[in-house]
Amino acid sequence: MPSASVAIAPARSAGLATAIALALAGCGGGSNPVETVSAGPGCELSYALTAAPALIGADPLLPQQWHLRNTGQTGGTPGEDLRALDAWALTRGAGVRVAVVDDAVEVVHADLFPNLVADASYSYRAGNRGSIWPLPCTAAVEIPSGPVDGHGTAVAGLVLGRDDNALGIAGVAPRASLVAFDALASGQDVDIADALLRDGQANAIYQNSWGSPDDGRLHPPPPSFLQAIRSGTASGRGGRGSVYVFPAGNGGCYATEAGSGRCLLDNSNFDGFVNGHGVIAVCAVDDTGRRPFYGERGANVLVCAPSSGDTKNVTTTSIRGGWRNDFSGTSASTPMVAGVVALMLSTNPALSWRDVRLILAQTARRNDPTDPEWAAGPSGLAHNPKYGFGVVDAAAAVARARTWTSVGGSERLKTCALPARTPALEVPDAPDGGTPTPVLDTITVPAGCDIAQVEFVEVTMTATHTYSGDLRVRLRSPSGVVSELANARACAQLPGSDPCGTYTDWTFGSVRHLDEPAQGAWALELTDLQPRDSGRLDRWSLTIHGR
Amino acid sequence: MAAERAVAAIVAACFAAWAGTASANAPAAGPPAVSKPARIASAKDAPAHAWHEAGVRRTLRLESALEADFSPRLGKDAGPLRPAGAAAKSAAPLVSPVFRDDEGRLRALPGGVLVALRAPLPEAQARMLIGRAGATPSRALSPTLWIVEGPVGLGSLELANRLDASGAFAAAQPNWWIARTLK
Repeated sequence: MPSASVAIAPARSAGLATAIALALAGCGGGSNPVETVSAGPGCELSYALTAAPALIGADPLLPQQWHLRNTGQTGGTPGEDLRALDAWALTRGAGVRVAVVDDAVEVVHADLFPNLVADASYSYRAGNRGSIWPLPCTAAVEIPSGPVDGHGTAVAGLVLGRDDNALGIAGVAPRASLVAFDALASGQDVDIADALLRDGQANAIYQNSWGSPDDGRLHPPPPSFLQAIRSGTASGRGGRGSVYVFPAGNGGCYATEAGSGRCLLDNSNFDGFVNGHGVIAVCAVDDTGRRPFYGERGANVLVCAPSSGDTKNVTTTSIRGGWRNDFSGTSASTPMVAGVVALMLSTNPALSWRDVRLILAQTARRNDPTDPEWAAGPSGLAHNPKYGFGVVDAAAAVARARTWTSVGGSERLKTCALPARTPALEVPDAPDGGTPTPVLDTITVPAGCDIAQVEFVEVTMTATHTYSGDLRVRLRSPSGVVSELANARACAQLPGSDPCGTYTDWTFGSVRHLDEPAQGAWALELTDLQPRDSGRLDRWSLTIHGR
Repeated sequence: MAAERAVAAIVAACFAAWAGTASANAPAAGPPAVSKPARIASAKDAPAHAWHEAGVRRTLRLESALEADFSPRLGKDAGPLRPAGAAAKSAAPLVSPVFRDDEGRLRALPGGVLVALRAPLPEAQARMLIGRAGATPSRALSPTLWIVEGPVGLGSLELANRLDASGAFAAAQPNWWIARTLK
């Protein structure tokens, strides 16, 4: 498979590779077409592959990529970035395969093609099923967040856009290898599970910038998704585990409260795609290192990465061989973390999926340091529901990865699953104007559970309530660290059901107790914070994972 | 071409009528205003269908104004949803009814059932187990997760419920189509 290059800036030639240039069919394009590819019959776009020289030279848009090195070029705070360029002195991600699971990826884009793994991508679109070209299909249709079929191309550029090719941008891991799956184009459970497991021995990282709607409702995950993640972490990469990266969500202000105008906060823990142990949940910070208006909180959030703020966005690749400077949300921050993981695995391929999580948490930089929600447990690691353990620090993570002693993968993960309690505790309705009364129930982890350092906590809860959005749910550890699992909120009405969803065996996740000891009393606290409607805590159980 | 535009406009209007079903979810500048209702809105229609997911019974309401066309075609369409009756008659075997679940999301049945085995099995044994349950195995996604054949539409929901109730498997669910949210 040839590599790609299009000469658009002064550069010196690296010689004539067996190369490809991208052109839209019918739009002129390169000369000497070698092959024409498309996303399938009926698609408006096709791509003429032609020979072209590979070039060497600075990436012209690199200075705009403030997320890689923030010098204040956008008016933000210098240093509020990934510290990626510092990490590049050690590695640029060579040898690590990143699978981008998205709507489509223009893998023939000149800034992506040099990193494409030949014949390893897969299209799930009905008319193109099985093709190795998961390309954008639809032309010229714009939606508010960007071009249709353009999301995956923007995501891929942030992970591994090629560096030093005299073109456009550079990704966080600009020499990592690209594989693309357009499973979001089909939208079927089976295709998503298939994509998350496809070539799991060769693909190290599965980058996902999608999830459930950010609307304050509980969105349970498909069981096939959970099984795919469990299987991938257990058996991917020769047992070291596939690494799954997902966005925490953009629901930081999914609606405003009628009357007050106050923002209603979604919680990442309400999205079953991102609140499990096998998934790295990624939040966003703006170019000043603070939570943007859309930032979603959650005890499950592991780390943040830079992304858009109120006005500043992120520069990356775009469809039809272009680039864009308007990419935003946790869709943008998530691939940056995938890129950092690629750098880590490039320098130490023996890291397990658990090692990756631990290194990211331990080396993250505490942003917005005066924010009052930072809280440290006995290990000294501070977590913030808005920021996880902080903003990923690529240089620190790579340095730590080089000398890290593995804690093992799924096979060495200890799990203590405590028997469920059925307290049937009535939760008093919030009084109008008074102070709400919480109810508590406790599960004690016995000495027989030999987890000295917690890595992840799951709470599975059934609470009957006529309006579940009234409930705040908190978990207090034996060390006194509190995870807020659910916040009170209002949700848009749905006919015949609780608008915010029902807590029937709902599983919350928390990373906040990282490195605490498991033994002792864990207390679940439910508080009704909004007048009218009432309910009870029927049942809950606690599962702790660690070492 | 004009007919296609007309259909697209109708579909767009259908989408606009249901907030929260758009597939892109970049940060919004002007979020909607909502408040806790005085009482929960009552259902105009009782849930029409159900399936089990991780042991939890989940219900669906039919969205009779829509259908989902899973015939192999590509082009300008963003997905399979169409106004009911818009699909060609020749495509009828590949058209599914559309449902709304308790989270407000639209779902459809493109065919196939996902079956979770209780433990990993060699392929031959897994195929035999699925066959004995009256289904046709397609392929394994993992040592414990199989896709079995099922028709587009309600037939695969019924098959999934039958397999789930058979006790032969850890679980069985339809292969759902759902519009995922790009972040």
